[in-house]
Amino acid sequence: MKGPFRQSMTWLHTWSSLILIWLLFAVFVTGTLSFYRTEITHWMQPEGHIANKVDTVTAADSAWDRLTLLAPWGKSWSVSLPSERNPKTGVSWVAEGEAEERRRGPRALINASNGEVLALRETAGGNFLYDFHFELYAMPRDVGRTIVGVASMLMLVAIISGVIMHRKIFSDFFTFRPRKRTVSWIDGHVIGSVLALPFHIMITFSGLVLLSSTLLFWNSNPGTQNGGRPTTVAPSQLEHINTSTHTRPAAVKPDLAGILADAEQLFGGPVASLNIQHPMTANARIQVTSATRDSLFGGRTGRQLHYDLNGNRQNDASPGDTAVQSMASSLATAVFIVLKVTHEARFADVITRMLFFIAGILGSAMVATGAVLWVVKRTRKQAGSVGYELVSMLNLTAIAGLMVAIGSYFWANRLLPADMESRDLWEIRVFFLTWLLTLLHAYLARKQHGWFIQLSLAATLFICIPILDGLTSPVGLWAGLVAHDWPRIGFDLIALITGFGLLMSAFWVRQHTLKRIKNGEGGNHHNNSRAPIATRGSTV
Amino acid sequence: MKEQLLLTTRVVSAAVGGYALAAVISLWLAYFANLEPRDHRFLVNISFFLIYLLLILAAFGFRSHLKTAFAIAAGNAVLWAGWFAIQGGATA
Repeated sequence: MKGPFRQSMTWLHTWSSLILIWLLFAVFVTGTLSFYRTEITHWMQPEGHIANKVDTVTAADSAWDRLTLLAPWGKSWSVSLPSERNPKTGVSWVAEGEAEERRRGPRALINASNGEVLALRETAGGNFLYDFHFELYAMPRDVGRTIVGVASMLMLVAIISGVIMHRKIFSDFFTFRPRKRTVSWIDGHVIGSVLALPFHIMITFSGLVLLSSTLLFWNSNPGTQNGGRPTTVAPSQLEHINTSTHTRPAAVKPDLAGILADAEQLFGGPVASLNIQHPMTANARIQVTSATRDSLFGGRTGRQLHYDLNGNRQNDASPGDTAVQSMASSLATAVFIVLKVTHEARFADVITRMLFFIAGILGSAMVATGAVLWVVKRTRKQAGSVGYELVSMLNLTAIAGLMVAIGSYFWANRLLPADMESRDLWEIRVFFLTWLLTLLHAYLARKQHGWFIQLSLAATLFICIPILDGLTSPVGLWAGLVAHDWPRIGFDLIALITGFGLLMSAFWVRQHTLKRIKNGEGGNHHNNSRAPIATRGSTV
Repeated sequence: MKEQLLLTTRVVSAAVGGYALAAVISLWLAYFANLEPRDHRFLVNISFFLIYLLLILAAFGFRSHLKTAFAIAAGNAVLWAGWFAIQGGATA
């Protein structure tokens, strides 16, 4: 490029980030929400909200009793116990004559306190947001992954060129000049970027590596693509699954309380799941898996112990650890495992997950401020041009419009009839239809308070989510709080904080617009070079 | 107009030529590392994105559009020719 190296990097930073910046924002926001996809799905199935706290032994006991009814002749049973991220118990089994296959989820979800099978509503839940963030929607999986991969590569180029172009990145980080229009936005963009820079680099690079089977198709291993989403069976269908003609065997139940106490003591933490081979027989063998997965080299499971029917520990080997050791046969494989585990926050405890979530929000803010900055810098010279107006419109739709669409998605979950046919699809349709409407609104009214209206609408949707939850869940908010249903209460709390954040942004935009108009600087967007940043080139 | 054409040449060289060059460099790297197939695959996957990133930054760092395009094309020609030569030799 002509000019000094830093100038070339500035050009590269600007254009590599702009090309797919709106998609990147959506990927960053939905990816950030995916750190809590289990909690989101829990919130979106109010039939599974809990009214009383249940200890592990009671949950295991009730699951065992339920499995003796559901699958007395099962070759094996699996029980995923309630955790701080999901207070429901999941049960699964391999029925008599059924092929042994590795399921990726429970066959049925049951109430942890009494073992009743939960009739949960059909929902796209957090899985829709998770899937969207790396393979988009309504297109072949490989096409979606390729598009997200290209966007991620552009993001990585933008981040690194952004670092290089800053002559004084360290001092810039500690600089914030409010009420300086363009400069304030540059400072905000730099703070959002640098504050979580290692996270941004890690999440983008690891995302690329995780998409390598699509992006580097010539180097992929066939059969490494993920299978379908695990599904649970409706309670009405469960009756027909195990219609064995045999007489039900006599219940042979192990000392679950003793086994769990011993395992928890050895693990130094809670138990995640039980797997029982040859249940209801004297040869039953119980495998207990730890919930603690705080290793960056951790595989899909935690440490495991094995017990016989009498509660005697068979060994304390840890197949998970040895498997990982043999898996990480080279530095490249070890790095790949670390990148995968870190990207998915699979090792993260409550605090680390929260920090990842905050870093994700900073990343989203970095992308959003970057998109707005492009418009701000060009208002004086390019306002009114097709490119400028297109970017202004897409900024409004992609940033404020996406928040309206996500809020509507959560509202649709509670307002659509619980027994509606294909209701998970309708939730997704509501999301995209709302997003489309915000695009239409941005096209027609971005110069008439567009940002204020969309941000206010998104704020209202999010602030009212706890009220909606209290009114439409069978378990009241207070009862949920007393029962320590943290995934649900946490969701409501984060929705409330998000809502107030959006409301503050809306009023900030409004206040600055009115101020400019009062000073005689508003009006025609073609010469509105001093309008507020978020809506520069338009009257908010 | 000429400047736009030259800029397009640079962008295509960086995006497409850079992709091909990063691919062959990562393949050579894994070849010399002499790893098991699974480790070989992971090394290619990881090193590719680092090399591609560096190539893109370098491609936009050079002053001359044409020299950039030429350097990427020449790098591709030499390394791919070498790669196919050793692959052919290994097969024979």
